[in-house]
Amino acid sequence: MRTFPAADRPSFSPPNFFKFRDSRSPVHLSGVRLGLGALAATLLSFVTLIAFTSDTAVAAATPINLGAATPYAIVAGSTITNTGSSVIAGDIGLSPGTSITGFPPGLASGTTGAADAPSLLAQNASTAAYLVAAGETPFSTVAAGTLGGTTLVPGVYQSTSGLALNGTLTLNGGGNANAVFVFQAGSTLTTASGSSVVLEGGAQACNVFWTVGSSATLGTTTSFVGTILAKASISLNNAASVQGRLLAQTGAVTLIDNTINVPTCSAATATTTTTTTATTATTLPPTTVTTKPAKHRTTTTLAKSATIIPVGAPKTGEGGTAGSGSSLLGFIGLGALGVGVAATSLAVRSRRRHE
Amino acid sequence: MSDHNGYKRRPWVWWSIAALALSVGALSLVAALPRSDPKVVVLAHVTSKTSTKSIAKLPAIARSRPIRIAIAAIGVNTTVGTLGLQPDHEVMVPTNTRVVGWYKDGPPPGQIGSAVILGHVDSTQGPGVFFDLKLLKAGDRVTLVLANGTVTKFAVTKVVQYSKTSFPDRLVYGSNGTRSLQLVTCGGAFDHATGHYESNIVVFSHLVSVSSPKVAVRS
Repeated sequence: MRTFPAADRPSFSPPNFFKFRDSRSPVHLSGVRLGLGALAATLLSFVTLIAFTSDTAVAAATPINLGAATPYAIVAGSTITNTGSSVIAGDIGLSPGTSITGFPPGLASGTTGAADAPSLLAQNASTAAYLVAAGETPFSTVAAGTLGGTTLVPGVYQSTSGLALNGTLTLNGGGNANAVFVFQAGSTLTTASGSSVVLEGGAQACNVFWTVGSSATLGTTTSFVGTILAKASISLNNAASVQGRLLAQTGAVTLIDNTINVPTCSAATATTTTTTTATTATTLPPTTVTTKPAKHRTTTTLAKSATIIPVGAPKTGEGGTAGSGSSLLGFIGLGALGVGVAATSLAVRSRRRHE
Repeated sequence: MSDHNGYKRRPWVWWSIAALALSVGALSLVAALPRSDPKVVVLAHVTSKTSTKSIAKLPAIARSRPIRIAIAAIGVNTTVGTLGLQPDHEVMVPTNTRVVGWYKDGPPPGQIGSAVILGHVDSTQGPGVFFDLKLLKAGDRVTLVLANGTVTKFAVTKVVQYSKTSFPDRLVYGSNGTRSLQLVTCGGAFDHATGHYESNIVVFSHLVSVSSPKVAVRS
C-alpha cells in the first residue's frame, strides 16, 4: 500500500470519507450539503402544506338537506294517482304536472298542490337533493343489487345496476341518532312482496335515503323506510307502507292503499331497542274528514306555532369566492426561507473561502 | 477574486440575497398565519340621515309564508323556500345557492317577532345569492311577497358581522316585540382548513309597509 510522503499529504487532518479532490475543504462540502438540505426541507414543507390544506376525504355519509321538500310526503313531476284508502301524513306536491287524482278516498294531512309555487320549490329542492345524494362518496358497492337478510351500518351503498330488497334489511345506527344511510341505485329499486326495512341501534327514518336512477317499485305489503329520490317514477303496490317520502322528478307517483308518514328527526339519545316501521297511520288532525270537498287548492294561511331558536351559526358559504391567499403566502414564505437558508450557506462558504 | 472552484462572487452578495429572502420568508409566513375574525363588527347602522319610516300603525296581516324576495340595492330577486331544523337543531340551509330559505319554525314576515331568511354567500363555484348582503346600508328596502299575495317591505336598520363562535341566536331568531326580518349569510375570513367561513353577516330590518289584496285583521 502506497503512502504519501509527509510533504504531499493534505494540510488538514480529519479523514476524508468522500471521494472528492483533497483540495476541497470540509467547510465547502458542508455548505453544499446545507444548501441541499435546505432545498430538501423546503420541498418537504411544500408537500406537507399541500397535504394539510387540501380537503380531507369524507368518511361517513353526510345528511341530505331536502330544503323545501322536507315537509312533503309525495312530490312528483307528471301525475299523482291514488286508488283505495291511502293515508298520507305530509304535504303533496306536483310540478309541473296538474293532475292529482284519488284524494278522496285518499287522505292527506298536509297541503296538496299542483303546478303552483310551493310544489315547484319542492320539486327543485328534491332534484337538488337527488344530485347531492346520488353523488355521495365514498361508497361500498352492493354486489348483485340484492339486499335483505343483512344488517348494514351507516354509510353509502351503491349498485350501478339496480337495487332489490328481498326479505328484511336491518339498518343499525350503532347508537348514533344522527347516523345516515344512503343507497344509490343506478337504475331501478324494487322490493319483493312482504319485504321490510327495519331500524335499530338509534337509526332514524329521517336519515335514510334512496336515490334511484330510473324508477322505484315497492311490492305489496312492503314495509319501507326512507326518502326515495327517483329520477323517473315511484309506484307502490297494494298496502305497502313507507316511513319516509316519495320524491319523483319527472314521472308519476302511483299509490294503492298505502300509508306514507313523513319522518321527523329527533336528537334524542339513541336506544338499542328496535324501531318498528309504522304500518298504522300516525294521528291525523281531527279536521281531515271526508266531508270536506276535494279541493286541490293550496292553503296559504299558516297555523300559529311557537318559535324554536336554532343552535349554532348557519353554514351558508363554501368559500368559492374566498381565494387561497393565505396558502399562497405560506408557500411563498417557505420558498423564500429555503432560498434564504441556501444563500446563507453559500455566503458562509464564500466568506470562509475569502478569509 | 475567483477561488479554486470558479465562484466569482464576493460573500456580501450571498449575504444580501440571504437577508432579503429570509425577511421575505418570515414576513410571508407571518402574514399567512390564520387570524380569527373579531367577535362583532358593525358594518352599517342607522344614523340621523337615514330614512326609516316610523312603524306607526301598520295593519295586522295574515300569517303566510314568503315565496319571493327582492332587494333592489344589491340586485337580489329570487324565490324563497322553507328551511327547518337539522337533527342536531342547527338550522338547515338552502340546497341551491341561488335561492334563499325562510326559517319555518319562526314567525312568517309581518308578524310580531323575527322572521329569518338565510341564503348562501357563495358556492364552490362562485358568488351566491347573498354575496353582496354585507354591502347593504341602513334604509335599504327588502321586499317580501307572501304566498297569499301580501307584499311586505322592510327597511334595514343594522348590518353586523358576528364571529360564528359568538353568534347571537336569540337576538337573530327571538322576538323583541317588533315585526322584524333578519337576513343571514356567511362572511368574514374563510378558513381553508375547515372549509367554513369564520363569521356570519346578519342584516336587521323592521316592517315599514304592507300592501295586501285583502287586508285581513289578525286571523
